[in-house]
Amino acid sequence: MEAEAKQKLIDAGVNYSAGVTRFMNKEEIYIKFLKRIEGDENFNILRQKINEGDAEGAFAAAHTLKGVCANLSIDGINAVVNPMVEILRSGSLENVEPMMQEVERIYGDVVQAIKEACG
Amino acid sequence: MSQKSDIAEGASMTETEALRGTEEEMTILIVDDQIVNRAVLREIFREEYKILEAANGEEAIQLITEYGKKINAVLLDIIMPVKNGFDVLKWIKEEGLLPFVPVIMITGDSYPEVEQRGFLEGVSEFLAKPFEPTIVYKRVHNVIDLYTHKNHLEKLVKKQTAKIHAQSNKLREMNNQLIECLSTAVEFRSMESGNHVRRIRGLTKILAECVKNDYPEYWLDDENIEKIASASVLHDVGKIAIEDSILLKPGRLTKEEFEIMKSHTTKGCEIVNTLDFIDDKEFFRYCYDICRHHHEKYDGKGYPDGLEGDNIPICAQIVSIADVYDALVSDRVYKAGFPKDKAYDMIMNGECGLFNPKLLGCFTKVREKFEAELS
Repeated sequence: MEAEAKQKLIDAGVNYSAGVTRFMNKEEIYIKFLKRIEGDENFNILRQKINEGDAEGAFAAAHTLKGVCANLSIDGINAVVNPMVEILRSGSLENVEPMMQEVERIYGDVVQAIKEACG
Repeated sequence: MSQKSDIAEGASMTETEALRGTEEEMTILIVDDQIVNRAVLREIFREEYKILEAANGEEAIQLITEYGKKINAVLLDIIMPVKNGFDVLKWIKEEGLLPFVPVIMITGDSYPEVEQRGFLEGVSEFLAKPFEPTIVYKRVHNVIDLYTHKNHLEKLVKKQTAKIHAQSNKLREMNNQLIECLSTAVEFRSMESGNHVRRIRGLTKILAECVKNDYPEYWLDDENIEKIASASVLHDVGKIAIEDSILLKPGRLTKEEFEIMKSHTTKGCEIVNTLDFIDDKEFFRYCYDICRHHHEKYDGKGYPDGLEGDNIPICAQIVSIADVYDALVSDRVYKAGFPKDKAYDMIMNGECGLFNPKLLGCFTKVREKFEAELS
């Protein structure tokens, strides 16, 4: 991947080199899975559960999202989702809505960056 | 150089690889509902292992049912739809597969209570998300190595034990044949048919079985009965040292001749003492006692030691009745055989010396079996 495209991903919150390393230096496979983040149902489920006030359901979705983003090295999302998981784990929804908005904003950036960088 | 070989470097897996060479392909089952997580693990292991994937607990159980012990490790996520990781772990345990198929759990976050519960329920190792390939590879590899060696060793020990068992059976069989051969040679020299050796074994066993059931105080069991029966064939081995003029004399023996004849018991012991290649000390002891004491009588009037009552080893007491009975019903150089009824009466009424009343009780009980053994 060209440096410019890579930089776009990095700016959006993707730890590109860590991600590639995790996929055994197979860049194409890493990109393939990075692309799948668009349309990942966990974001929709998380949004829906928060709207419904279902802390338990939101916790499960956020927890899954945390693992996926961690494995994809989307550090920007993890920076917000990880503390959110801990709030939801305790059964609370306090302050979760603004955090979710932040997640959605970064998510949008990342998806956009992936589109531009990977076509 | 690929990442995989970077990781494997320095981790000398030669022994495991040697084992692998002789065994089937190694398989890892990856269970995680998120395809991204499975993909990362797949990339780490795909070059070395056959990879199976399941997206939930139910699928995992199906695959484990199908592949069983061919799976070398299960990498198991905890939070999954349908059936979670702990459900799957519980099932693997209930199926008795845990000693063969190690479970490595995948956790999203390191909470000690989760690891504690996992270890208590039989988890071998934990992998935390995000996966670090070097750590994941090494942890999984260590567990698989351990299980491969453990199960290989267990298999080996099982195989060796069976082999040793078969060899010791063969050895025992050879010992028996050797002893029987020796005994038969002695018998032929006494101008007998060779059947006495075969019959004495059968009669001894029949009587001993009855003693085992009726008189537990003699501590007989199937194993020592087998040994006593084998040893019984040697009872007259000392006769080989008795000169022909006495051994084959058609008429009654003089007092002096009888004294020499009696020495076949102690001569037999001398011969038995040369059988020191026999590892089984219990069997050796039976051979010795039977040779020496099969002419002792319950009232102490027998020979060579004049032992009385239960001072006479039970094995010799049993063989004594079997021997006397067979001698009575058989033709010998100096006499014709008695009818079976007559032989029975002669033993019961003490014409052939006194026997242990308990054994006479058994003798009466097995009378028909004795008669069947002769025909």
